[in-house]
Amino acid sequence: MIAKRLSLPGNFVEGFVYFDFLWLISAEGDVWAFDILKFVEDRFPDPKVAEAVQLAFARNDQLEFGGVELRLVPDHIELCAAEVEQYSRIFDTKLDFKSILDMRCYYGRAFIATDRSIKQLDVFGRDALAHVPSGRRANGQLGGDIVHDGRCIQFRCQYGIVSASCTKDGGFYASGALSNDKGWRARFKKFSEASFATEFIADRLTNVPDLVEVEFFKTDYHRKDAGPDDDAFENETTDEGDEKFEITDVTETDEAFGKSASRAILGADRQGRISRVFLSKNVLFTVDFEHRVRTVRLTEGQNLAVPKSGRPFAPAPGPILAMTSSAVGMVAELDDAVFVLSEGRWHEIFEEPVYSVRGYPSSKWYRKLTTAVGDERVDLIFMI
Amino acid sequence: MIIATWGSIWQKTLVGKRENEMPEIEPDGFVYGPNDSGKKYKSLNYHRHMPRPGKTRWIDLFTRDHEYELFDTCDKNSWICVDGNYWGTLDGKIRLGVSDERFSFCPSNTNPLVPWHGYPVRGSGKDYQVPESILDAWLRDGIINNIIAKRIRSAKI
Repeated sequence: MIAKRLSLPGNFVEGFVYFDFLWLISAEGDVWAFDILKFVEDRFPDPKVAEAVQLAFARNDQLEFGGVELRLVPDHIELCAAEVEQYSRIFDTKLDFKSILDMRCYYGRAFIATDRSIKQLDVFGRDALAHVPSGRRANGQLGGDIVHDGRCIQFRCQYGIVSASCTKDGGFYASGALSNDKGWRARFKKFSEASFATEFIADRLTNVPDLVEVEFFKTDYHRKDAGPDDDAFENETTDEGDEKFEITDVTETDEAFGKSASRAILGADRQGRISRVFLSKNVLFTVDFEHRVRTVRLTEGQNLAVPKSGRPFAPAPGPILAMTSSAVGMVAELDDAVFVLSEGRWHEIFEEPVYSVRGYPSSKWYRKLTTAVGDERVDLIFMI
Repeated sequence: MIIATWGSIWQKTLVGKRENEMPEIEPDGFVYGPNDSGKKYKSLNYHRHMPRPGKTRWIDLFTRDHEYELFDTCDKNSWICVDGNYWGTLDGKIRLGVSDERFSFCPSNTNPLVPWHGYPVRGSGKDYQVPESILDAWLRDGIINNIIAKRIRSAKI
């Protein structure tokens, strides 16, 4: 496994890579748009090196394993606080929170989950941000409406749907997120009585209503009508071309498939000692009390298939608190570090506790990136 | 105050234990106290070595004495929610129960003749959600930091 790292100092609590920018939320509630491309251009005068670093940290779908570019990328690029500010647009969003619990950027909008609400902001690409000088503060540029009252702990955005997990308050979804209407606001409808995580798996909206339970909801998954600016947000398009499809309604639970998946989950451990499940694309992960992870495969190709439990991987070096996917394997947040499971071994990729760690498995440009937000620094980690 | 490493917890607990106070042994558990505020606490067997279905269990390393001291810490620090339940933790990281529970929960008890009791819980499921007022108190008292608070709020632990 090869890892390259871009480290930004600062008291940030959340980070999300979107359109060449690393969108950060500061502890004070400001939103920073750190310009990755511009920083790299200025830091590396050699255009070949600059291009290689840009490919690694902003357009890594174009970077070939073992190619010339990768060797030109330094293993660790560190910024100072002044550089982070110099290359950022800083928006005085005054987000009101005790904790930021999740963040997603999708089709020009940011959804920010806090302990008290979901807030929707506008986020922009390079052209739309051009009028905001880098290194300056800007007021009121991102708008910001509360679109849901109450705690939300996780989002998923795909097929024009925003799903929101609001623990005991339930699982919610808002459709129509592909809308070009600047005034579109998420209107959430409840689909489940409890939700701790959701994921789109095949044509189902999958929900975790409790520690080791999984529900599958049928949807009206269908081919999207072609719009005039379908290419406007190329970044959203996955390798499978998922965004050619759309979901506008979540209907009923697929109880038969849910039971089948439950058998596979509980059957993964003969003594029923599963601690919790995590969802990912096409699979779910079970973790037992000895920190062993197993996969339960749920699809074959694009379709649901009989759930099948795999063999356990080597135990993680501690309890797993959260999981995300990356190009090299599953990434696990532990109490005091972040690890990636690659080729059967756990590798430490961040040596401190984190507020969040996220991969971008559905992104065309950032598939090989993982962001880790620690107490005093944010790392953008390229792994291949 | 319980300190957040096992070694120091042992030391602190044993040092802090009232030497002339031994628990009263009853068929279903050990009764401690009364503490400084007059509350008694029963360490129940079915949360220990005589498990029952649906009842969580403390890990052996977290002894009955620790259990009582954590209850006493909750009482002294007013880690009590509006529903009258006590919520405890060592630091949000250390495991207290055999199924990855990191928090203690002592359900409200309004009868002074009945001892309190408690058991380990997880904050990551739908049954127990650590209240905001408790998180504020733990942050105030330096028991947890902002990262742990976020993990509790987002049901990671």
